[in-house]
Amino acid sequence: MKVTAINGSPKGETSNSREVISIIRGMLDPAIALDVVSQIKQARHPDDSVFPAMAESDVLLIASSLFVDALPASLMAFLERYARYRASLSPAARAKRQRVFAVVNCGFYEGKQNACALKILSHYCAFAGLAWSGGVGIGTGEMIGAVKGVPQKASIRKPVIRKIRDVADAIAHGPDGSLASDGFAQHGLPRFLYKVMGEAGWRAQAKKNGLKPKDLFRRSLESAAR
Amino acid sequence: MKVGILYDSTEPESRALFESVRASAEGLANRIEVIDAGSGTSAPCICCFQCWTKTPGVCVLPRDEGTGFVEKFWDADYLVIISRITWGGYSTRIKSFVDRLIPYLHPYFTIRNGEMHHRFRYDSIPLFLAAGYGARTEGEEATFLEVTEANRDQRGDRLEMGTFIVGRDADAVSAAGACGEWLAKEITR
Repeated sequence: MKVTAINGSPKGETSNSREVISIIRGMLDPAIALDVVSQIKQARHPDDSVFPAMAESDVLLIASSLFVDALPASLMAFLERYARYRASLSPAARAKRQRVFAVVNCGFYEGKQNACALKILSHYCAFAGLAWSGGVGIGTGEMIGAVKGVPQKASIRKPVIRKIRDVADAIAHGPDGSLASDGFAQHGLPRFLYKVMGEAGWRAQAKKNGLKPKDLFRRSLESAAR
Repeated sequence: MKVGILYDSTEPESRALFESVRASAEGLANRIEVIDAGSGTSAPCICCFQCWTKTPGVCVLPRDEGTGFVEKFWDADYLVIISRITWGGYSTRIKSFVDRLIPYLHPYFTIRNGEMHHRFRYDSIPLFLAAGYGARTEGEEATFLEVTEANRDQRGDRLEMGTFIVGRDADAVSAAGACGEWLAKEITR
């Protein structure tokens, strides 16, 4: 079996989406080949030479971050190009059944907020002649990379790892493997705590950039308009 | 009242809906700002968050039409997004503009209608109204409704008719009049 994973995050190699792909790679039998295509490299330098290998894989695994309740525009542009490429193939090549799985994450607490993005991907599959096989939406996405050193069975990771494992299992299950329905999860911590930690994280980043916490509240355009 | 309109002049359907929406808004709003996604480019947001943590409120990407998206619309009461329905969401071109609205928001979180969202940088953000056309399936139409409702949830608003969809059996040019009437109703309620 051959899997092509598409890292849909514009943050590229350091993204939480890339980490999701690594987690799934670790769950799959090493005999299953998994290549990673970086969508953001493609956005900078569109290169159709990745498409033939993509079109030959049995599974496409799309990992992405959520942008305004939907997919990042740069990922949409890449998927549009792939659909066009696929439509240009011979009928025999086009007939190859490609299962598509997706894991979309967001910085909000609730995994459910990724539901629309997964539906959009299901409609994309219908449009491009691909077999939508289900997706998972992860909230508290900023933590995916932050807790990667913590054991997967630790209570903080468990809810998210369980959903990611559902995807890995469905991929490995063979040609009929799919999720019964889209799944949603967030890391095992209460919402108020995630909020406090997240906001401390933003202040830490601001400090690194030489700003004070109150600078985060700048009303730049309002000042410009006066 | 200030109304912002985002549309894509490369598509005749979008042009027809835009003309009707603008005519409708002209009688009701004292300020109207327009961005035509078809006559300028908006580089894709790279998710760097520097518009929150380095130059708060200002995008660090080289200046383009996407920069104008934030500057023109940040204090609008309404933002009308006219888009081809693509897989149930906005078209890629329209979405490349929508993705650039992040500087409107503050990195801190708040809870609205039971869900976590971002605080606003300014007093509020524009209320998103959407007019979509060109869906391929009933499912795409249903998802477009959900996506645009989720957009409004970011602000905490629930509207019954905040999204106008040109049905698959209708053509956008002949539905344009109804779209203008819809907008007038929405912004005067």
